[in-house]
Amino acid sequence: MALLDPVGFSFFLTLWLTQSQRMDRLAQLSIEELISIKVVSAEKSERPLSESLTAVYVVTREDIEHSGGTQLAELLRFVPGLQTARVSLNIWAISIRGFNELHADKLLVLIDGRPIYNHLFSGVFWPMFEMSSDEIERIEVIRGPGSTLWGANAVNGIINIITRQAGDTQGLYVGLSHGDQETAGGDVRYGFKLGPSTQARLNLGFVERDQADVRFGPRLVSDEHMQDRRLGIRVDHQFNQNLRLLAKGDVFENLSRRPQAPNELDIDDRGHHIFLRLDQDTQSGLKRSAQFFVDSVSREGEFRWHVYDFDFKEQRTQGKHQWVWGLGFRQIDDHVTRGLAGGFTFMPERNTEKVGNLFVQDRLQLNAAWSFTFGLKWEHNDYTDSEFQPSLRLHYSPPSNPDLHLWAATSRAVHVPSRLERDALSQGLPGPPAPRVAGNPDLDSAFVTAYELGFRTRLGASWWLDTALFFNDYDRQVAFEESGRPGTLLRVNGMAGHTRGAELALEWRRYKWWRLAAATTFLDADLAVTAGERPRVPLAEFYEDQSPDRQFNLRNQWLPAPGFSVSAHWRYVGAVREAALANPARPPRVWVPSYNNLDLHAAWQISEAFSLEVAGRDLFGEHREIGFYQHEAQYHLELKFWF
Amino acid sequence: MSRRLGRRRWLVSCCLLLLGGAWPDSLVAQPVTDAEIKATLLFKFVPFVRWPKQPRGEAFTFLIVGDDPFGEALDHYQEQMVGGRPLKIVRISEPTALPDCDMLYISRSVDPELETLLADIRHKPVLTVSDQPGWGQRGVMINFYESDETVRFEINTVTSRAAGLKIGAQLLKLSRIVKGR
Repeated sequence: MALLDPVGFSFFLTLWLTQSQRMDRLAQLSIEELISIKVVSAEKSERPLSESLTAVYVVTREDIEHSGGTQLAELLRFVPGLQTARVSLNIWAISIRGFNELHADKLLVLIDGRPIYNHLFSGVFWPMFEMSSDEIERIEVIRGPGSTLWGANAVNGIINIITRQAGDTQGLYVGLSHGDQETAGGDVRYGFKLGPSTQARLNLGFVERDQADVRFGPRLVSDEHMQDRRLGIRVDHQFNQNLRLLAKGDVFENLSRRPQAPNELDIDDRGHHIFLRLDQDTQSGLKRSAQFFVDSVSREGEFRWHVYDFDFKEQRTQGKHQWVWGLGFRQIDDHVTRGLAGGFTFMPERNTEKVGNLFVQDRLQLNAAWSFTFGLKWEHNDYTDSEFQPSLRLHYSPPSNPDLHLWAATSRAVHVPSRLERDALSQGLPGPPAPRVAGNPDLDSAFVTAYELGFRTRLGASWWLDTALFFNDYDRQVAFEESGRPGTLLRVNGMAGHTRGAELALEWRRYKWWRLAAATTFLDADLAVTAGERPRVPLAEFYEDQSPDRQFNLRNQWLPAPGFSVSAHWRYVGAVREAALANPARPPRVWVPSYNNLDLHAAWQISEAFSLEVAGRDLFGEHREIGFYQHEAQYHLELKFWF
Repeated sequence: MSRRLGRRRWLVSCCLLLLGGAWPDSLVAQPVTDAEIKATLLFKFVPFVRWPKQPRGEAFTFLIVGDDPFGEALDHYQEQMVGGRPLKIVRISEPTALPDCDMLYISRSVDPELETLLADIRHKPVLTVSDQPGWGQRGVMINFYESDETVRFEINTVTSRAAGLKIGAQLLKLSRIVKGR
């Protein structure tokens, strides 16, 4: 929050001057004055791209501030190629390039390099990762398989959340909020120096959300109430120019209540983690990083587990080659009695799983414009033994136009059966008798072969275009087969097919104070349950229809006057079929119609130390996204103080 | 955080909205760009740098290697006096066979050949300037970086000393000192 413009030069110089007049005035200033002028950088208005060879979209700090979103998922709504749908107050279904459902399992999600998807169903328990949007620096969303370099479970994409460095968030900050649904929210952040090259930050967060008469099913209506508390610490230390340390840790408690029929449902999640990373970055293009973390979570009455993980990565440049290699090891000790809101029992209840991997990638610069990348990852796990995940990539960027990128890629990624798929038995549900679903310890891994084509360029001075086309060929996906035992279905590798789609992001930014961004997503899935020894449940159409075939997003970010910002986000999302595939034996036949809605956000920086923000969500009124949960228009007020 | 804007821009915003963006470009207030600040700073540095006493050309030669990021901002200085000599701006696209110069701007497009280029001129009295992250450590004497939306610069005292250039304390005081190479 530097509101420093000691002499007001930028304002003065912004007036109606030609460039040559402006240069004259600049020439009269001293060096001290010149280095205190706020500037517009051409590069800053570009999207920061960590890896230009893939379909990547970066949610920047600016996007985060303009969205006014309080939950992680709200910051992802406008990303092309991504499906976001709210299931209840703080539960979301999020996926990339289709297969979106509550238990979406084809995504790798990382916070500062720490994977946060769980081994239980290979998805993310989003309520366990509430975080203040003030804490986030940016979110990189990579579409397409990234398993070669990024780690397990990156079947359809990666969401990489990068939090702000302690050095960027010094001082005391307090954010207080109140809204229709988010009845109380508080964030306290204190950043301080521990030494000349050591910065630390403490975060304390609290949020309470409340909603009456939430519909969760055709005959299920309940109030819902949730509370989240968390305390986090982050330390950044710079040993010398080339070596730095990041240490993080947090403890949290997330409690949610649904008091009404049929039974009261309490979900009490608690957890903590410690994370350490050393980064070495030498001038000769050699980079190394080593990280270690321990993660412990529990859900009362259901499960508890500890994850131990170590990863090492090295990158070096040798002539025309840029090598990256690395290895990783993870061990998970768990004790699962029930799972997923009581719907499943697990056998065995206690389990230890170990996963190791080794990967290497070489990017060969063929000439000034073309490069070729080959990568291979070997992964070993206790269930399907060795898995190989290769990728090939061709990239073109002419030296005469470094803003233009054209790339083509093909890669293979593997989904290793989750604990749910292997060991879980579904419990009988109230209502007419229905088959139960049993896990299958002999289940083999499912895989995808992806073909991608991408194009990114700057158009003129103020337009950015980013497009990607993909064709994903899936095989050995999980289907449900009669087990031979009466009333029980078994999970088998029994579905194949493909998805294809196109994503387009277009951005206009002529001025630093006005930006328009549009994103479009098209998706088409064609799947078939293959024939097996015994009859299989024909569920292919559910998977085909669980993600919208069309999505449109339009955002306007506007800074009309000093200290004011106004932004709008309009979205259209196509119809989906309710994806309650956790109960595949008897999936409800419910369509959720297409919807469009509008979010508005306005902020007023009244002084250096105080700002006021108002957000209106879903202002066009009620809609449903997935299942029965009904969105209503709601307002949210936030006060921010910097000391 | 960039909520600070001129009042004029508010007016312009309204006009733009009304006209649906059809406002003529030349009339719209343009904020100062980083290229303009950098171009100005380049020649502000010269009085604070002492080149070794050697026979040097008539003109103060400023060489840009690679893509020129300054555009028209630099035209303003063409043929002005710099350090008591008329300024001559030379642009070349490839970092091979560098002509003699006093100040050298190394553009982002030279990245792959940066180390070779710097090794070639290591002991020549040439003030090297760039604006890419990490290039200060890689050996460029003055490297611009952006901090809090302002243009700052870092100075590599190891390489400037190796080239026999003396950079004044007033300039060092305003910079971030880096070492390397």
